[in-house]
Amino acid sequence: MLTITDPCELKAADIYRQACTVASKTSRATDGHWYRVPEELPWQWHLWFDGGREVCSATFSKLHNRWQQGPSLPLANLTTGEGVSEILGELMSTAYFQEKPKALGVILHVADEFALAEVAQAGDVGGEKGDDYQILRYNLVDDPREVLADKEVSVEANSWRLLPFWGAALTQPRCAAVTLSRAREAFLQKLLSSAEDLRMPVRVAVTSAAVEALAALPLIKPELSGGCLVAIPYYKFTAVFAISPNGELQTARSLSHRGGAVVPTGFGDILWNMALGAELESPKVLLLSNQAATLQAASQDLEIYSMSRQVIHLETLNLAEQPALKEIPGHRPEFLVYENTAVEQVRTGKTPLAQAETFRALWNNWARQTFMDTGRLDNLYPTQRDLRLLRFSSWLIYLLAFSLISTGGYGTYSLFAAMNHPSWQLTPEEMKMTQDQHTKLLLEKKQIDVTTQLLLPRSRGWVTLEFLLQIFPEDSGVRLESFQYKADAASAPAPKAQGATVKATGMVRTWTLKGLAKPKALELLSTLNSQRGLTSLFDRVAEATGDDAYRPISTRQLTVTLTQGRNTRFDAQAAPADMARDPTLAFPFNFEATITQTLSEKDELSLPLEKPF
Amino acid sequence: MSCRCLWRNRFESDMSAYTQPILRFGLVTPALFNFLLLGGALAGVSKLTSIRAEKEERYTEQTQRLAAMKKLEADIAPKRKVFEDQKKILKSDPGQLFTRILDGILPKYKEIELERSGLVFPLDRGRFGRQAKADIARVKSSFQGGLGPMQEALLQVEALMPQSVLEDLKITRKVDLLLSQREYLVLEMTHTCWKTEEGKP
Repeated sequence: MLTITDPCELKAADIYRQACTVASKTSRATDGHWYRVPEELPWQWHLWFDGGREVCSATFSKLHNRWQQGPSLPLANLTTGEGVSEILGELMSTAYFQEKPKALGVILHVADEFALAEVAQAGDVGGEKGDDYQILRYNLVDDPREVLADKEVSVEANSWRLLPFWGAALTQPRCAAVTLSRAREAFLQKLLSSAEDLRMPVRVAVTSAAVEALAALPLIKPELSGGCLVAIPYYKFTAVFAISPNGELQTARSLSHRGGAVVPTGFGDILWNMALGAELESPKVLLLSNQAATLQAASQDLEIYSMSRQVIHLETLNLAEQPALKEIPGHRPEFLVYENTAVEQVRTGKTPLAQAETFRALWNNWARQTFMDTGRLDNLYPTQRDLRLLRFSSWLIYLLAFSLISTGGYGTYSLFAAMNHPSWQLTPEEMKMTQDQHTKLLLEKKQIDVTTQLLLPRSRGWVTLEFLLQIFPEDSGVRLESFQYKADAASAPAPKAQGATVKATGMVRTWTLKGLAKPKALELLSTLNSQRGLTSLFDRVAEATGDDAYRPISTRQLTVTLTQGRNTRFDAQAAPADMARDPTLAFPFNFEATITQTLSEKDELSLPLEKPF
Repeated sequence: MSCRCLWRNRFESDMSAYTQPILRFGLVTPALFNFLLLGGALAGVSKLTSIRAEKEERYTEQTQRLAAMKKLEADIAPKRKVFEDQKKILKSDPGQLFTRILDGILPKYKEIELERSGLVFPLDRGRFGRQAKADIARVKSSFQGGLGPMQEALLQVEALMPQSVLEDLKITRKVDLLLSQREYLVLEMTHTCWKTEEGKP
């Protein structure tokens, strides 16, 4: 069994623990019925008692708008609370509702008492009356001694609810407090306790039958226009309400029945005085009861009064004969205000009383005020918002925990995957060793490349001599007087970018030939002086010697300058002996040729600038 | 009263006795605890991820380096023997080698065919040496004789000394009338020879 302690007596941690217990062991977190007022619940059990032997029990299915006779409850049980579990079990079956109820609203209509207490501030209500009544209403619930005129009342034994007199004149009290004893709360407490055990939402309310009956008046007699007294006799008292001609409640009185009488003593006088107090032109009285005997007794009493004292126009209304109450067990008008359809039908209609503020307010909630302070009971439990917050926090924590587990799982997987990857075994020492080996290999490659490049045959003497033989073969008619060959490194080009190093430079090779020529050699010289002839010569030398330095390729440039002239020593008449002594006499022309080969730094034979080691 | 205060008052008025404990023990504390743990776990995972990424990057670098080394080795290996020979060549003293080779060749020729008239070793770096940073030695030699023997001798010298580069060559005709010798050629040449410094491989 769930034991709930007032949270005001608990420490914060215990309050939280209690909230968790409520959330887990009750259905409050998931079932919104726990937080609804009884009249809003689709399944209702109405109990009406007037202090007589019988307790009127009725069930109301709000969904189907269907009234049914409820389980019988002896009056003694209503006091002692015996058999509550059994009755609750019975109600939760399909015996009283078309479907199995998921919640139950229990409304106890108290008709055995109707006392009106004076409100201390009743005369001060003014201005926005609606707001003032609401403030008074809540003050009366929270601290009745502050509101009531009588400060000596027992709040343990009684409870009070405000009944505003919307139509009261300025000189009259604007409201009164309806008093009910709390004797029946024990029964409802037991009912709640049993429901708690069954995890079944049961909501309870204790209402004043007389006020509810007044609220039901326009529903029973829609044509009633007001300007009358409404007397509702019960077993122990008669409630009288003064209705102004415009349909507003002016005042109310509770008249006790003495000595087993069904009408109060001096009924006629009281009604006459009330009519005068309410400033009604002609005292009209509407008497409501579901018992013909009561109606007859009251009629006789008032007829005698009318004949002997003052004329009172009496109208009786037998509730048992009213079509609106035909379907309601016991023909109780108090139950009728819980039928939303019936109330809405009258509210939207044009009947005189439906236009009055009194009845609109009564239908809204004033008639259904509960005299049991269920708010205090509800405060023991977490609110729906608290439980939603708790559920949200649980989800959030689950989400965070899931995120945590996922992250942890991902982390573990990552660690596992990382540890199984070969990279995990790779040590910095291994890397350093490999790096050193790589550096060594790169250095070796550089040394090989530079050395190989350096030792390439880019200028060789024997090939240069072969070049001479190729350029002027024997009997070509040319006598070379001098020959000079120079190989020179070109100036190193500027680095392309800052910090870049120039690795190689080009080369310039120059062949300078001076000599004498016979006429037959002029064609040879002419060929030499052309680019084609020169290229052909170098190609021929490259083929003959296998020396690639002479091969004409795109990175090389060949130029030639040739000057020819007449040989001043030439003697056309020279004898062979003279020519043998001085061969220059036989050559009519002299020449000087300079051949230049420029190799760019991109050439395969370009000169490496770096040191090999 | 500020909007914040109004909101706070409204919120507090809506609160039951349970609200604050639920907020404190059910939401804030576990959420903080979870956030701390989650933060720690995320930091751990982040650290692990960065370590893993770093290690994998290093592994990739190592793998690429090994592949490059393999390629490099494949490139270098066939050249290594030749390179060793080249190193030996560069280690040798070019002046001595040049002299020794000539000494071996020249006796084969008669004086009229080819005769060495001079051999000097200039100390300046010459035209190639001024540009290249490699160590060099220069050999300046002069000969008298014919073109054919000279070409033959040069072929032998340059074949045995691939480190030599002909810097210049000058050929002129000369007649020694006093000795009644027939016309001969005077050949002057300078070779630049690459070498390595002492102590270098």
